[in-house]
Amino acid sequence: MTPEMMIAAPGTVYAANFALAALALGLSNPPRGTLLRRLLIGFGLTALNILFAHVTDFDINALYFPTLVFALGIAGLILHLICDMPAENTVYFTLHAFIAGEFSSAFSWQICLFLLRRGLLAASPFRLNLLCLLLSALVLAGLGFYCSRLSEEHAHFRADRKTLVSTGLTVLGIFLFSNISDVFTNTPFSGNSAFEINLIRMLADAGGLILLEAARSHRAEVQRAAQLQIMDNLLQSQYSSFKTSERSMALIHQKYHDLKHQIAYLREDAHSPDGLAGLDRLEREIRSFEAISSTGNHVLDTILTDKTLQCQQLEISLTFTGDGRLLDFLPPMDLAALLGNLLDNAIEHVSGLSGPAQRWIELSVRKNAGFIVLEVTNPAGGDIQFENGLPKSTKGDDRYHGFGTMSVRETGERYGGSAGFTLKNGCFTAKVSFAAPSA
Amino acid sequence: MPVIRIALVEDDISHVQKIKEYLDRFRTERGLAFSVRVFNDGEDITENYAPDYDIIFLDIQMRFMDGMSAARLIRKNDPSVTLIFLTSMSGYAIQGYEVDALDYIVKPVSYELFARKLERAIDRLRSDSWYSVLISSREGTVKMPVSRILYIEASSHQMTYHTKNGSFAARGRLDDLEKELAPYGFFRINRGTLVSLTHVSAVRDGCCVIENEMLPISQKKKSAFMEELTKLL
Repeated sequence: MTPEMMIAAPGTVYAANFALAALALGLSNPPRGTLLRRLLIGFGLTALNILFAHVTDFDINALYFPTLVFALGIAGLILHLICDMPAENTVYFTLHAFIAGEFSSAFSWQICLFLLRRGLLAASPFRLNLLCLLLSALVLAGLGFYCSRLSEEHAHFRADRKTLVSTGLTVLGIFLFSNISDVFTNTPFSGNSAFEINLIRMLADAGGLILLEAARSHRAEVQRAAQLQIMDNLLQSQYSSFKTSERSMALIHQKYHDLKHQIAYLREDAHSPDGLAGLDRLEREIRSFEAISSTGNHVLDTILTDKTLQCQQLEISLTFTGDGRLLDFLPPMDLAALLGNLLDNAIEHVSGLSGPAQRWIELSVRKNAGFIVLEVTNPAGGDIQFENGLPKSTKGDDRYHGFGTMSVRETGERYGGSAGFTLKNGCFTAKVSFAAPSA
Repeated sequence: MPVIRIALVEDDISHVQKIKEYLDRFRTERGLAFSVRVFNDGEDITENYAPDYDIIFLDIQMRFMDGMSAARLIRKNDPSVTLIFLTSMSGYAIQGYEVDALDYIVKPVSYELFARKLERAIDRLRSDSWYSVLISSREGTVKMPVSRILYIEASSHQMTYHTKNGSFAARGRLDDLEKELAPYGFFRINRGTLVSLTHVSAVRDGCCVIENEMLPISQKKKSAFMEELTKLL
């Protein structure tokens, strides 16, 4: 082994590390397929990467860049195959895998160099390669363990184009800094011996990795906060629309009673049969304002009345069955947001369908075993896609929609239940469960 | 599928006519066999009630005995019959859960909606005797309808089926059973337990309750378990 070859870990180790780092980072994202399948894909493609690097002799030579691109392509392919996430995220985590792989290779190589210098290791290339590979695999296993604990954080993580550009530039900077000694031996930042050169590389990669992780965790935090904010706004707007209809209904109710008394008063003075008939008709007509819904739960009544009127205009039949009193344990804020979300989604969906056979919504409240169940069923036009068990928003930009259903599930979970969405026989059903309060 | 025995309790002749038409149409479309009996009041069906029906459609508003009172009396003698209420009042509270009603139909009803409700009721009738697994234990092989299985426990290569007919020990792998039984509402709540979601009566202290047995749900499965359970409630 010549000294020039010693300045960096063997190319095959790098190739293996890029692929393994991708596998490790993949564990932090929504999985595609079983763990066994993911591991098989990860290790299989790692083997391919090692083989390719071995054939092209991945080192500073003419084939260096093509091999690097191939190795990173494989890392990206691993992430694509084992994770269920958008293409931007795949690119984002491939960039991370690049620096993580660089670091683990440099770190392990530094240990090998140290052992070599101390004479604790024979300078056999095969043994060195193997030891370096094993050490770096250990480092990446640690990374994999760390990543597997982040999956919750990444369930709704999105890397946008701006993020990709800034991450790409950061990665380029780290890469240039860490490899400067390979190309220019005579700068203030270049090392002389293999030990020094690799140490510089390792430190640059370690710093870079910390930088990337700090940026990632900050980004995840900001996105989470933004999502909570959107959910909160949704809740507030549903609640305030409930308050508005509550007020207007109280007003209508009061007017109705005033009118009823006035009719009774007029009746005493009316003598002609025409006058009496007119009063009868008036009385019949205003009766529809008395109380459109009386389910036993005030919030449900208000929202149901409001939505029934809205549905009448859209020629949708909205029916309710069950006992509203079962929902009395829910605070008005939660119930208003829940019903508003579910019914708004149903109305929006059904109003896009044609034909009276398709324009209906059924709402019911039941008790089943130890659970209270709130159910909304409506015909489903076409195919509805699901993601994480939640129906995918049909409103295009999925970064801002779909929070309605997310908040529905969150509400169910807060009260010891959950939410389930199913598509069966052309009907879409949303069910929300709550643990029945002990009487 | 044997003849499905249906009772219709309804005092409005025009509704009786309409629902009989719907039943006829459903029968021809699906190639099923129905027997239909009509009663004009709650009193008529509850007097000398015999548990001879699979599905009973019950009007809520009737002259002498309303549907809810009739349902309570029927339930006393017949805990398993499927009850579906008919009502012309949408938006009013009905205490259907007291008598374990499967569903409600708000009149006037379209054929499509009626067919959907009937389909669901028939699906449920079928699921009771629909699919069976063979349990090979030391005492011999038992054919067990999946609806009678409460949960299955596994320890190294030994499985115990806890069923409504008692417990059976058998060989096999829980992984295979999990795949086979998933379409019938079974869920793996931890490494060694596969439960029937339809038999879960409550969830508390991180356990699901099946026939007063507390079975622990692993923390990782909790959220998915609640979701699947909710779909079947």
